[in-house]
Order: sequence, then C-alpha cells, then structure tokens
Amino acid sequence: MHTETQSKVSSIAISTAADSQDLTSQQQLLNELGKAIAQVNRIVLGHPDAVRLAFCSLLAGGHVLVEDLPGVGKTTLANALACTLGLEFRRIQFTSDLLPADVVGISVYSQTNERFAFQPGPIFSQIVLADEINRAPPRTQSALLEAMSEEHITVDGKQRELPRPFFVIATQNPVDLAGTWLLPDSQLDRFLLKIKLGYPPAQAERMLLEQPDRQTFLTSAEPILNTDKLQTLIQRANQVHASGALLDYIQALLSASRQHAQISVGLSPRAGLALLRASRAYALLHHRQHILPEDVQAVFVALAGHRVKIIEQHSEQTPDPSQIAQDILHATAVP
Amino acid sequence: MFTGFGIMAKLTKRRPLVQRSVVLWVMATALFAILPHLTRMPILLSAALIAITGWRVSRFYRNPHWLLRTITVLCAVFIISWLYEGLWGRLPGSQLLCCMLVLKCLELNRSRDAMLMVSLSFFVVATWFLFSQSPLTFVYLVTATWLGLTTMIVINRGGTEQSEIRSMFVQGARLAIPAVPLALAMFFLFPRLSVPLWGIQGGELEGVSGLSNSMSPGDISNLFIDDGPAFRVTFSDPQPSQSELYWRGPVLTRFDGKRWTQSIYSSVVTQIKPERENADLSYEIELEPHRRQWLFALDYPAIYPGDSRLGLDYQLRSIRPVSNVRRYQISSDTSFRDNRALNSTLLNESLRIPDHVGRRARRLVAEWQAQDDSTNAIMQRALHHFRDNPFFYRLDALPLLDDPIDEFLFDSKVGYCEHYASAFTFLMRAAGIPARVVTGYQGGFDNGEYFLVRQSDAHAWAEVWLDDEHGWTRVDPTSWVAPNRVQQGSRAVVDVPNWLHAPWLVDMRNQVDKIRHWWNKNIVSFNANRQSRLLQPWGIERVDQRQLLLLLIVLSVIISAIVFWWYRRVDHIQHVDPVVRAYHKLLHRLRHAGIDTPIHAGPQTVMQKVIAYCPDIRQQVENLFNRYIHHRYAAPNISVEEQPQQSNRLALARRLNSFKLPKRR
Amino acid sequence: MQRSALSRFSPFNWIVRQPRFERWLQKRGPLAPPFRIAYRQVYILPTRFGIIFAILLTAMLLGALNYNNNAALLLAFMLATAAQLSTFRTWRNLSGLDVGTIHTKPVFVGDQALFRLNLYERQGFERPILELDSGRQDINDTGINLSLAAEQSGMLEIPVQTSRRGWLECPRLRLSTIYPLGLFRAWSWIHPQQRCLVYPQLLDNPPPLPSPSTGDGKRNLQPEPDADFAGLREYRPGDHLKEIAWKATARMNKLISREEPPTAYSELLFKLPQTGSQDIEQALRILASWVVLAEQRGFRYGLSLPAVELTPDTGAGHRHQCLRALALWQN
Repeated sequence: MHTETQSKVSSIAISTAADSQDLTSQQQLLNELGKAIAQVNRIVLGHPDAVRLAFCSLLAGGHVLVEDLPGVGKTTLANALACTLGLEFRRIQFTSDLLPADVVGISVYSQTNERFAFQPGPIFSQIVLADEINRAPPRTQSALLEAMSEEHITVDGKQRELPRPFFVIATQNPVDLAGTWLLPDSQLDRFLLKIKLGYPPAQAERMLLEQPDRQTFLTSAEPILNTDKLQTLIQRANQVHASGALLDYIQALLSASRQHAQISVGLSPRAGLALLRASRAYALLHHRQHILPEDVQAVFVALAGHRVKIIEQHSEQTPDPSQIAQDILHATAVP
Repeated sequence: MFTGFGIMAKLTKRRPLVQRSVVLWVMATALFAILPHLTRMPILLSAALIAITGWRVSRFYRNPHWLLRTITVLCAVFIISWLYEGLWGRLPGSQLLCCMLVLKCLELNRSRDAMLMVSLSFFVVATWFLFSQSPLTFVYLVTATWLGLTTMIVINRGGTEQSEIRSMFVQGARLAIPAVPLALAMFFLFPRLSVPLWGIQGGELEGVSGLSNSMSPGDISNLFIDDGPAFRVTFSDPQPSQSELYWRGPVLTRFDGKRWTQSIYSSVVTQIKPERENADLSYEIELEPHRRQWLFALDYPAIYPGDSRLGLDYQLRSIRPVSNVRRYQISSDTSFRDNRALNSTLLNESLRIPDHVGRRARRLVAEWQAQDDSTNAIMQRALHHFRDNPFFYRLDALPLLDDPIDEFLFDSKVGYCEHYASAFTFLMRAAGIPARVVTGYQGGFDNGEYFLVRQSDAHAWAEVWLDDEHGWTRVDPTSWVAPNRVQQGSRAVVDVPNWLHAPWLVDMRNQVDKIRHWWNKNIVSFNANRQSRLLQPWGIERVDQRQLLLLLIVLSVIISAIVFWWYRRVDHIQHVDPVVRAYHKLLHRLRHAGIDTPIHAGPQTVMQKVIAYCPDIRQQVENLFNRYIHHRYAAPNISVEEQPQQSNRLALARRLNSFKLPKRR
Repeated sequence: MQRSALSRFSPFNWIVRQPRFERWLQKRGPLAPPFRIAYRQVYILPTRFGIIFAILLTAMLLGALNYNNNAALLLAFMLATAAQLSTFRTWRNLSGLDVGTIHTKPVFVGDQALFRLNLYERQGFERPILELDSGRQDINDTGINLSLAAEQSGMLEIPVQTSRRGWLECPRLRLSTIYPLGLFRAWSWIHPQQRCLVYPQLLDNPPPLPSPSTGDGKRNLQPEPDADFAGLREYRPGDHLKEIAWKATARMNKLISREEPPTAYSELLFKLPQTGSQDIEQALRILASWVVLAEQRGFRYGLSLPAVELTPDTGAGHRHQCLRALALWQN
C-alpha cells in the first residue's frame, strides 16, 4: 500500500518534470511565506488564526476589515504585515474631520510650474492602514471604499492608478461605541474578510507583558517577501484547483444563507466568487494545490459575517452575524 | 376600545391553478386509459375524443363556457344512447365513461380536478377488462397503474420540469413495482365470493367470435380465418385420434329453407344419460368466453359440471352464459348410443323440409330411392354423389341467394362444411331418413401438454338416425370431399391467407398460446373454488376464508416489511460515483462506531477524528483519506502512466468499503 | 352552505375540532422548536381525496369480485397496495426532519407579522412539498410549502395579520405533507413559544412633532430663524403660526409649513397629554408615529408615560425600546 502511494507521488513528479524549476521555486516561495507568517505571529501574539486570515486575504487580492475594541493589537497587526511583506506602507488615522482629499490627495497650484500639480494622498501606497475607519464621516469613508473597489482614483477628471499590490487594512471599533458612523451595508463587501481579534489567550498576554514593547519588534522586523514574490504568490493562489464537488459545496452554502430564517438578504453570487477566491488563497497557505471543504469553512465566517443582512430583532438579543454564519456552516453537508 | 380587535376575516383560501405540465401528464394518463376502448368505438367518436384531448393540451385552449360544457356532455350521452340503443350494458357504459373522462378535461383547473381525472382513468382501465383479460392486458394493467401513480405524484408536486420526467417515473415505479407482489398476494388470498351478490346478465354478443345458435350456409367462413383460441383440452386418458375429435356444439334441427336453428327440445333435459361408470375418456376443457350457454364435449358426456344440463339432443348447456374463461372436467362414454330418445315430435322435426327449396334435390333423391330404398344405400349414394361429381371444398364460396340447397348441389358445387352438412341433411330428410346438422369444432392442435382448438377449427356435420340399434349416427360429408380437413385439421384445406400460416409464425402463435393457457389457467379462471384448494400442493385439502385472511395478513406484513426496508435503502441519495458512495457509507459506519462525524465535517476533519480514535493505524488512515481527498478535490491528473480512471475509482471504492475500525481497547 | 360544509369536510379537520383532541394533544406535551420530529410525533390520516379514492376502489373491488373479473380485481388490489405503501412514504417525508427555532421581527399594527421557521434535512433523502399551516380561518396560509433536497435547509414563512398592539402569540402550526399520492396527510404539531411584538399602528397623517421640551428644566432649544430647513410640507391642523412658510404659501396658493430642521441637538420628550387625544389607543398611535418620525429626522427623543420613563436618546435600539414601551403600555 505504501509503495503504491510513493509511485503515485513519483508519477506526479514526472508529469510535471518540465516545470520542476517552477516547482522548486514555488516551494521556496511557500517556505518564505511560512517564515513571514511566523514573523508576524511573533510580533502579534496570540492571534494565529487572524494572522492566517490576513495573509489569506492578501493572497486573494482582497482587503481586510479588522474589528475589535481599541488596544487589542489591530494597528500592530497592520504594521507587522507591512514590515514583513516589505511593501510601501502608509497609515491614515481616520477622524471626524478628515476630508476625502486628505485620503486621495489634492491638486495644488504650483508656483514654479505655473499649473496644478497633483499631490498624491496617503492612499497611493501598497499597504494602507485605515485606522478607525468608522470615525470618519461617510463621505470620506466612501472615498476610500471606492478607491478599494476600483483600484484607481479619479481626481480632477484624471484617472490615476493605484500601486500594485494594493492592500487596505481597515480597523473599526464596534459600532455601539459613541461618535462613530456605521459603514454602509452596500459597501461593506469591498472588504474580502472581516477579522475579529479579541483578547489574546492568557499565555500570550503574559508573554506580551513580559517582553519589551511591540515597537521594538516592529523596528527589528525584516522584510521577508517583496512585491514580485507577492505578485507570484497571488498568481499561484489563482491557479489553485476547485473541483466540482467543492463548487457544489460552495453553492450549497450560498443557497443555505439565502434560506436562513434570520437572514433577510443572503450571500450574493459575488460573495460566492469571493468565497472561492479566499478559499483558494487559504489552500495555498497550506501548501495545497486544491481546495478542501475545510478551507472554505475556515474563511466562511470571516467572509459571510459582514455580507449577510440580519433581520433586525430587537426584542430579546440581537443575533450575532458570525454566529449565524457558523449556523449555516453546521447545517450544510459536505457533499 | 380596540378598533382592530375582533376582526376575524374569513379568508377565501383558493387553491392555485394547475401547471401546464400537470395538464400534460393527466391528459397522457387519460389517453392511455381510453386507448383500448378507442379501437371499439365508432371512428368519428374516437376521432372527436382525440381531437378534444389535442385541443386541451394545445396552446390555444381556453376554458369553454359552462353552458357549452353541459351541452357537450349531453351530446355525448345522446350519441352513445343513439348508437347502442340505450346506455345500459358493457359497451355503451364503458364508452360513455370514456367520453365523460375526456370531457372532464374541459374542467381541469385545480389539482382536485386532476386527481379526479386520474381516478376516473383507473376506472376506465378497469372497464376494459370486461372485454379482454389476455396476458397482454396484464402488461397494460401494470403500465397504466405505473403511469397513473406517477401522474398523481406529479400533481402533488405541482408540476415537473422536462428534466425531472425520468425521476418522476422512477418515483412512480417505487410505488407500482412493490405493489405487484402485494397485489398478487391479495389476489390469491383475498376472500372471494362463491355466489355473485347481484345478477349477471348475458346475451350481449358483440365482438365475441364463435359459433352462433343458428346456421345458414356461408356463416362460419369468417371464423376460419380467426386464429383465436376457442378452447383448450387436457386429456387425462390417452387422447383419441385426430379424426375422432368432433367437439359437439349446438345441434340444429329446424330448417326454414335458408337457416338451420335449434329445436326447442334441445333445452329439455334428457332422462337417459350415459352411465357414469361407463365413462372411458376424461379430459379438462378451458373454454374461452363466448357468452353462450353451450359447453363443448366429445360424444357422449357422462360426467359433466354440476351447473350444466344435458339436453334431449345430448347437447351440454351451462346454466349461465360463459362470460369468463371457464374450466370444466368432462368424462365421455364413447360407446354410448343415442338410440332411445327419438319420440314422435323430435322425429317429425328431424324430417321436416320446407316445400319451396330443393325441388331438384328431391327429384334426385326420388331417382335414388327408385333404385334402392334402404337407408344405407341412400346414404352411400348421397356421399358418393359428393365425391364423384366435381364438388370442391373452398372457403371463398359465393353466397347462395334463393335456394341454398339446389344452387349448391347443382350449380356452384363449391363450398365448405356448412354447405355439405346442410345439403346432405336435406337429402336425407327428402329420402325420409331423420337427420340434423351439428355444429362444433373438429380436431385441434397438439401444443405439448394440451390440445388447442381454434376458432378456425369450427366445423359442421350431420347426424342421421339409422335404426333403433345405432340411433343417431355422425356422418361427415365434408370428409368425402376433402378428407384432409378431418385427418389433418382445418389448416390442411385452408389456403387463404397464405402468409398467416408460415411455419414459424404458426409455431410462434402456438408458443404465445401456451402463455395464454397458463394465464387463463392460473389467473383468469381463478375463483372461490380454486381458492379453497389453493394450499393443496402443500397437503392442505381445503382452507376456509378465515384462514386465508390470516395468511394474507401475515404475508402482507412480511412483504411490506421487505418493501419498507427497500425504501430506506433507495431513498437515500445515491451518489453516482462509487467512491463517494463508499465514502458516505464509511461515514455512516464511523458514526455507528461512536466517532462524531457531523454532516458538515470535511474529509480532513474526519481523518483527524479517526486518527484520534485509533492512532495505531495512523498510516493506513492517512493513506486512505488522502487518496479519497485526491480523488475528489485535486485537479485531474494528466499523467501518461495514470491507470484508467474507472478501475482506479473502483479500487478506491473497494478500499473505502473494506476499511474497518480496530476494536477499541 | 350545506354543500360548502360538505366539500370542506376532511377527517383531519373533524378531529382537530374536537375539544377532547385538544386536551389529548396538551397531554402529549408541547412541541416547542427546535426539535427533531420523532416517528411518534407524526400523525397520519387519509385526506378527503383519499376517502373518495377508497370509495372508488371499493366499488371497483365489489364489481370485480361479483363478476369474478380477475384483471379488474388485480387492478383494484394494485391500487390499494400502492396507496397503502404510500403511507409509509408520506410518513417518512416528515419523520426525522429537524425543525429550527421560529424567528420573527416586530411589526406595526396592520402589517403582517411573519413567523419564519427553519427546516433542516439531515437524514440524507429528499423531502418534497412540506406544507405549513395553522388550521385557522383568519390566517391565509394556503400554499405555503417547501421542497427540501437531501441534506439541505430551508425556510417557511407564515404571515399573520395583526389587529392589536402588544404581544402576538405565534399560532400552533401544523407541518404536513400529502406527498406522494395525496391520499394521506401526515402531519406534526409545532407549538412555538415565540411571540411577536406588535407596535401601535402608524398613522398616515400624524400631528406634527411637539416643540422641543419646554418648562421641564431641560435645555430649551429654539430653532435658529435662519437655519436652513429640511423642506416644506402641506399645512396640517395644529401647526404653529411660526412654522408656516409664508413666502411659499403665497407662491403655491395653499398653506405650507416648514419641516422641523434636523439639528442633532434637539431633544424631544413625548408625553401622553401632548397628543391631545382622549382615546388612549389613538394617543399611543400618535406617540408611535412621533417616535418613528423623530428617529427618521435624527432627533434625540425620549418617552415619558405614567410608570415608564425613557430618557432622550437616538438609534435603532432606542427606537425599539420606545415602541416596545408603547406596545406594551397597560396591556
């Protein structure tokens, strides 16, 4: 039995002999990716799942919304990602008086050239950390969200391309805190995943207290990946195989979300495509060339939680969207 | 105070209209039900029914006004009663039912109407069995049940897509197929009525082929080309030779110049019967229904069924018309002589000939009498007359117009048994010898275990009163003209139409008849009497109805249990891929072993759980599950060395199936 | 009348109307979701059509027995056994189904309260046409049905017309199926413990919002005269003279009032006497309409009823608290 499997493996190896060069380079890339994840995990203690999801979103070419209480390490996570990936990084602190121009940039009349020159805003950067996005007024929020979906910005009638890869990590306080504007429902799905950090486990928290300040870790962090490598990885993620059985499973999840009693608007076909994309990236993170149902399940809650519209039920307790997403997962059979 | 309080509006809950696909299904069922009836309908009526069906399923259909619907129904009733002179009876009744079924489609709006139409269709199917109960009708029965049940399922689903038709038929089959054994059990064991609850009327003869109670030369000819079975015989004694097989039917004594009819004396029960002890030839006859009273037998029946009577002319008659296949035991006394029953009335009747026919024949007989007056001599002269003159045996004889005796004897000289029997009897009577015509069947085909007598074996011959010692003696003038007819059977002399008698075709027909025979024997003629002897093969002489019912209940429970078990199996999703099927079975086994594998667990999760359960065989488990995962989720391999997909698949399915969890210590 | 009573007759309805049946059902214990329908909880009886079919079959059977027509007899037996076998399939269509909790959301009087029921198929076979009804004449529950594929979940929704404020109990529900032949109905009772909150009816044309609270020691915030207003609307009786937009009135030739300016700083405290209505129910309707209006315009609003005090706030949660108080006040 054992030899049979070995022969199988070798046959695969032979079949792809032409790409063996490619294969080793890919292996190398994946190893580097593993190292990168490890490094981020060293900086952000106690949130390995969140880190994996963040990387997953990155490889899927999607943006991330991190939602949690202040002080649990949202900004640290974003910083750690930027350092480790070796990308250009900007941070925008959203405040209630932030204007759209503060984000995208502004045309300034230049005395020397005697014409308007565009001063690119902080959004022209490979990784953008939009901190506390729900403290800015809706107009500013939508400026960012539009840039995210269109991957270019139109200022003064001129279209300006954003750099590639373009990755937004937005953080958000839970909405029941005062002085915040809720992100509009229709634009929430510009974020591929919505990650919750939560408090770190006891072990990690103790280590956090013990070790020196996170900032020192950040400064000492070395870039492990670069733009080219990241682009290749994104490309690889796109090539991960999704079998017919798996597509059936994703479809079953989508239709289950539309059938759920507590959901008024279920997942859209676009959400389905996003789910497939995220699952591909997640499979690649685990060095696999094909998606497993487990990959879909791992990203589903983070992906569906902010996309379904829950029936308002003020009476006793408001249901938690991620709990409902979990329900859907549990009610849907793996084919 | 509360303005909105107490409003309990009575809502009109209206059921939705049926979908077009439902209409199509229902109309197909109805059409299938009336299909056999259409063959018996006047062509215009059946065309009208088909046209209405077509209109209903077409896209131009609109519900007609209720007045128009009522008029159409009345029209149908009127037409049928006009065609058949009344509505009472098998044929008009069933055809009216067909019309009502089709006309109901003009009011097919809700699922209630659809269900009613399907039920009516079942009823129409049942009425067809009044006309035919051949083995083919069994096939028709099962098919109609299947189609009807499928349609009921479709109605309850509210319609079907094109792609679902197949699965609908499968659903229908899952009800119809298990119903067959259960229905058969009920069929054999459900208590039967030994006496009918209400009267059975006979006398309806439409469409049943067979002998009639009168004969005018030229009558039987349509029977000769009818290859349908008349009856079957199983001899328990050595069977007599072919030329001895004269199956005696109606005895015709009266002659009005054109037509031979039965004497009223034939229904008088004879007092002088063959002795039971003398019976030396016993056989069983399975008679196809002919809706007359007479039963066929060889001369002369000594032991015969209790509900039949032997007339003065020794013709066997049943009390009731034979409307179903009938099986009866007969023993004949071949040595019996019918020489005592000739009273003066019967004698007179056997000599009477009308004056206006056969004048030349009478002159001929007078010539013969002048030479030799003895009975024997006259008879011989008459028979030799047929042989020595150019008489021919042909079925396509021209009809005789005014004087059937003289025209045949002196002009056409072409005819078949009826002509010869009729002419011969006339000649005998003209000579003052009592004579009569007997119709029946002659010969038969040895089909292995039984003798098959077809309609085409119909025959007519004469009986002559020789003297007090011999009594009535059978004389077959046809055998003098065409000896083959009697020695080899009707087929030897019949030449039309030729292709029907190709050897292979005849052989096939005989094989088919064997099936019919079996069917008639075991299913159609099954009755209360046979039911009580059902357990004879197992040594139980008689069962009463209480025991039968008990047996039925026990058997039903057993069969139902088997069917339910089968349902449990087939209901579950049947994955086409054997690997997936095997995997799901494995999950089922794991659940039974206590490993929690919920439906949402992916293969890798399941693998981890199995490994946690039995870490000893980690290698084996990983191997198996990885192969499954590879099969199901990985990209198809484009390797050259790859084994054929199918065999790979089956091997994996086998391995999944043979995977066993070790016993937990 | 006689005819319709006859046509409505079904053994099921007859049994359900017996008071003894109700007591017996109570004894068997309430079936509050979520639960899995056990085989004992599935009841089965022939439908009205099933009885008609049985009569037809009996006629066919008697005729066939009488004439000893064995083919017709066989047909009758085939149909009878198929009908008998269908009971098993009907029963199985329901048995083992998982019924999830019932969900609902608050509605206003006059709207339909929707009770949503989740069904989960986890046994691995298809369950076509599951019907949900309440057996009540005043609920339009015809044709609420659902087909579940193997291992699929689905949702059924039963609308109940609301006629009074307060809690609306979800009626006892019947989940039933007549699949496959429609000759038998298998059903199972669901006794939801769920109730739906019904807010007082919203008025199409409520009186204008009262001026921001006066004389309560709270901040008296007069709208600034030059503040841009959200809009104009037709004059309603009760509008203050100051609110009338005279220029617009002159232009349009009818009385036009100014809409309240949407300043986030206005605080409103609604009280019963402000409505000016003697009828308590009418007053509650006006208050409910005000709450909805105030939330729409972004005011901070509160509610002060005898025994109920809600301090001014804003947001969906607060709106619900206010409406809930109104719905349940002295109820």
